[in-house]
Order: sequence, then C-alpha cells, then structure tokens
Amino acid sequence: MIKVDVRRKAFGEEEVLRDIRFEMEVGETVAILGPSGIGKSTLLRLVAGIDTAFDGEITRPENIAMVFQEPVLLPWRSVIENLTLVHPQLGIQAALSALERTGIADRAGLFPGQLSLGQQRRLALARAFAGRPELLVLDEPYVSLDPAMAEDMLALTEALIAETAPAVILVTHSEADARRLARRCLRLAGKPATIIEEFAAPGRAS
Amino acid sequence: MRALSLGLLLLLWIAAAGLTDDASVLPQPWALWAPFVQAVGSGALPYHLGMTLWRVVCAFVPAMVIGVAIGFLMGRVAAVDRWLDPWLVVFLNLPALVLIVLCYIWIGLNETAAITAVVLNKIPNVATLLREGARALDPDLDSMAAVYRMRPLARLRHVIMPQLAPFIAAAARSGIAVIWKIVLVVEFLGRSSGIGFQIHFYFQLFNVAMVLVYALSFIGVMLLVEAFFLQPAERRVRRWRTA
Amino acid sequence: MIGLEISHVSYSYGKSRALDDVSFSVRTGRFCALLGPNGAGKSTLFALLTRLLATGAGTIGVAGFDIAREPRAALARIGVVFQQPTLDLDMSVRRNLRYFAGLHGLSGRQAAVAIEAALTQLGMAERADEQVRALNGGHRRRMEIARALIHKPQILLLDEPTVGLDAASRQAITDHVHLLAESGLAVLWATHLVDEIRPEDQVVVLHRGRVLSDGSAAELAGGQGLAKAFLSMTAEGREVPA
Repeated sequence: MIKVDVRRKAFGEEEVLRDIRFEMEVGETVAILGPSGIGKSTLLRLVAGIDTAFDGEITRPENIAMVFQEPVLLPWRSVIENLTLVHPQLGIQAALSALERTGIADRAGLFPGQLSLGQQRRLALARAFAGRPELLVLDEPYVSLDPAMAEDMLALTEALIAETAPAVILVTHSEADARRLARRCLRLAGKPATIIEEFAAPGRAS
Repeated sequence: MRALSLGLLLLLWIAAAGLTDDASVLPQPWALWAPFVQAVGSGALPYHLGMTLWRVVCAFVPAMVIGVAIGFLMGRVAAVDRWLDPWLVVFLNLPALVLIVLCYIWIGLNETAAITAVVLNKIPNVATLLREGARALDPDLDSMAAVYRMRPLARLRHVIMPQLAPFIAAAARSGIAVIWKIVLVVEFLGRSSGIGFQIHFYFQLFNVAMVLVYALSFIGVMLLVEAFFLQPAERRVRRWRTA
Repeated sequence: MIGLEISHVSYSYGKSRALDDVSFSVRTGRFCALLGPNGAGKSTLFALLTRLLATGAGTIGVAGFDIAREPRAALARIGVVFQQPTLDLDMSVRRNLRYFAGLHGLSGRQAAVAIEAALTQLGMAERADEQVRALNGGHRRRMEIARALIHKPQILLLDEPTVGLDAASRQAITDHVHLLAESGLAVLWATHLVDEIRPEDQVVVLHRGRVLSDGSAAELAGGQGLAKAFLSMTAEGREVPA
C-alpha cells in the first residue's frame, strides 16, 4: 500500500505542489497527467524518495525502482555489472536471466556505450525489474524515442509489469499510453499544482 | 613527435653551451656524464634521490587524501563551500615560500615541518580541482543510486569515483609536478639531505655540472613515474571510454 | 545424491497462479526432462531457480543449499543455459568465456584451465578462437553450454536449448548433455519436444503450473509411446502444442 500526502512542496519562494493526496494498492497502475513544467516529475521524485524536502508524508515500500527519461546507466561498468552493482543481492545467473528477459543477454560483457539506444533502454528496464520492485516509478520513459521503438518498449514494460506485479506510478504526456498502462489517471493543473481530476482509464483488463 | 621536441631542446642547450664557451657556467650535455657516474658510484646521488622521493610520497598521499575530501565536500555541500572558499583563496595565493618559512619557524627545522609545508601548499590545488569535479557529478546518476538504495560504499566506488577519476588524475599529475618542486625548496632551505640540499650545496660551490646532474636525474625519475605509474593508471580508468 | 530438490513451490503473478505446489527432485548423474507446453510455468520455475524471482511458498535446494537462505552458495552450484544467446557475436569464443570466468572470480591461469576444460567437455576446443558470429547454431548452443559450465556447477539448467536448431544439431546437443549427466551433473532440461528424451531419463510433466507426473520416460510412456502419453495428459481443455 502506498499513501501519498503532499501538503506543500516549494523550491525557495516558488510553490510547486499543494495538497496532493492519493493512495495505491500493490499491483495497481496510476498515471499522472498534466502539461509539461507543472511539477509531475517533482511529484515522482517525492514519491520515489529522491527528494525528501517537502511538507507532508509519503508511505512507500522499501523496494523501489525507477525508469527515467534517459537510461541513466553507469557507463564505466559493464552491462551485467550495471545490474549486479545496483542489486548486490542478485547473482550472476539472475542478472543474466534479467538480461535475457529483455533480450540483451549477449551484450552482458560490453560497456553501455557500446549498446544501441534501444539496448540501453532495455538495460534500464532490466535494472528496474531485476530487483522485483514493489513500487515502480516511470518518468516519461518513452519520451525521447521514435514511435516504433516507443511501442517496443511499451509492450516490454507492459509484459514485465504483468510478471512482477508492482504498484506503478507513471508520468506521461501521452494520454494514449496512460490509458493503455493505467487503470486510474490523475490530472494535475494549477499553480501550485494540485489534482483537478481523477478518472478511471479503460486500460487493460485487470 | 615528443622525442623530436626533446631533441630540439637538447640542440638548443648544445648551441647555448657552445656560445657561452665556459664549462663552469653551462657545460655541454656530454660533460655531465663523468660527474653523473661519480655521483652514482659514491652512493650520494641514490641516497639523496631516495630521500627526496620519500618526502614527495609522504607529502603526496596526505595532500591528495585531504584535498580530495575537502574539495568533494565543498562541491557537494553549499554551506561548507561558503565557509571554506575564502580560506581556499587565501591559501591559493599564499606563496609557497611563505608557508615553508612559517612552518620551519613554528614547527622547527625538522621533517614534520618540511612535510607539513608541502602538504599545506598542495591541498588548495587539489581541493579546487575536486570541487569542480564534485560540481560536475551527474544528478541523474545520483537519483538512480538513491532510488535503488545503493549502499554508500558501492555508491562511492561505482558511481562517484569513476566520475571524479579524471579530476583526481589531473590533480595527481599537477600534484606530483608541484610537490617535487616545493620539496626541493624545502630541502634547499632547511634539510641536510635530498636533491634540494645537494643543489644548494653545489650552488655554493658554483658547480653547475653537479647542479644539472642532480636536477636532470630527478626529472628522469619523475618521467619514469609518469610513464610507468600515472599513465597506466589513467588508461585503466579510461578503458570504458575507448572500448 | 540429490542435486536439485524442489518442494511445494508456488508462485503467483498478482492474481494468476504460475506455479502451484510444485515438487520434484533431480539426483546427480541424472538427466531430467521438464516437459510442458508453452505457458506451463517453465519460465517461472527457471526464474525462481536463478533467483530472478524470490520463492513465494516452498523451498528450493541446490546441492543441499537452500536457495532462499544461502543464495550465494546455491547459485554458485548452478549453471544456466538460456533460450536466448548470452555470448557476444562479435567477440571470439575465448574472450566471451574469459569474461564470464571473470564474473565468477576466475582469472589468469585458473580461467584458462576452466575454459579449456569446459570446451573440451563439449568437443569444441578447436573453435575457441573463432568469432561467435562465424559459428553455426548448433555450435553456438554448445558454446552457451560451455559458458554455463565454466564455474564447475553441479546442476545444469537448460531452457529449451534446441529451439531453432536443425535435426542433426539437436541430436548432437542432446547427446552431449546426456554425457554431461553421466559424468555426474544433475541436468534439468526444459522442452516441449519428446524426441529429445531417452527411455531411461527422468521426466517431469508440468502443465498449468502443476506437476502432472514424475517418473522415468519408459514408465510414463507405458505402451503407447511418450508423445501420445504426453499429449493425452496435457490435451484436455487446451489445444495441443506444436
């Protein structure tokens, strides 16, 4: 169970978020919608526990994973080490399994810089799911991809979510993606931003 | 290319020595061989070279460790930066000679004072470089390490250090170069061993050949350190870029 | 000696149950075929065995080590051959294997010896310096098996290792792995192809997350042949797998 209660988040004088409250069950996917610059990514950073300077309270599980807009890999460590260093409890075999699941097991010994863009994304996904997260945070993970690759990644993400069944919180500007992945959508608007609308997405059958 | 440029320097030397035509002011390069062999044979050169190298190492290690730590903190924590920045400016602009003299006066004419003087001279440079490095750390990788709850030690070793490595390498290179020069001054002023002391000694005898022998031997050693220690280390940490 | 012991293992993805009270064991020196149609739960079981997924209910013992309580010791005794390639096509076989040896903490001479031994076991020593790309499918699979053997595991897991191979290569790989079992490994070979199984092999039939039968291939086949027995066991309510 994830409980988000952000009363106020400000950067200096500038108030960004106010009175944002929602709850999520494990296995549920919630999409956050809203125009760019509204504070969606800020909200995600609070939920993920990266930014702890705010008024309010967030209850979240210990085991969290996040997929960023960029792959955010350790370029100086090999592909498989990008998994085993981030998840030290993961053995080589499990790391290989995770790479196999995302289709890049044959790249295990290379450095991330030697991978294609799509393979780097796959590594980022493998890293997110290999730790069996209870909460998965997706920050516009497909935003800089061309449509074909975005579709590939979306399908892979969908499959991995189905296998691992974490709670998922997703920021996207594509309402189509939101409807496809999420069961519930929250729309942010205003300055400071708050939830102005909550609606159920038809999405996948639950 | 490198060899050619060094050869040119040598030619310049020979020409200059030919023009002055006075071996007591500037001897020809080949005239240094005999005194070099004599200095090595007597054991004096190896002894003094060893002493200087020992002081360089003793000063280099703490200067790097303390400088890296201070610079890193200054780059990461704004409050620390605000407090230490004025100090840094003062120490950066303090002539090495002043620190050396003050250390000898306050601590005494001993090894501790010598090493302390060198360390204090070097720390500000290292700290300044590392502050830049710490400021250039990728915030995305920070977030990633935070989300996945990477342990502090793993974070340091696999996320932070690889990003700081180029800055540490730069600090180490300029560090070695600066430190040995300062060590020579320290020895020149107040020790009874080391290359600096020997240069002082032969300077008083106006023996230019011996001064050059000692200086060049030390430069030779430092080139070897660079080629067999610093460069391979740098290649190792840069491997991922070229792969 | 028991190599692999799976007892009362269950696993669910959200509400759907992928494994339901699965129990069986593989003794060292045995070749055990894990037979089941696609979606039977084989992949989930392999994910549990490599600890990509944590065991929900039940225990998995590897050479006497509980995989949940002593994961390092357990995983050090497992070698896995994945369905997809794990070797880099653009590197030589030896470089690939050396990399994996390094991951297992072997270096220098130790690694060279381990690589040589693994390649020899599969009859591939003379191809060590070829690029993986230059090898045909069957040889690539053998290399994958050699990779999985580098740290001298006691249990070898293979996830449908003959997918996409021609009949001759399949035969060769199947023979090699049977030899590995005879040399003292416990082998778990996931497949949906009955012709890879010999009468004396152990067969575990997995269907919809449950173990339907566990015994020797000869017993399972009865009089009617293994393929028929398998089909009749898994056919009800589901189309026959290819």
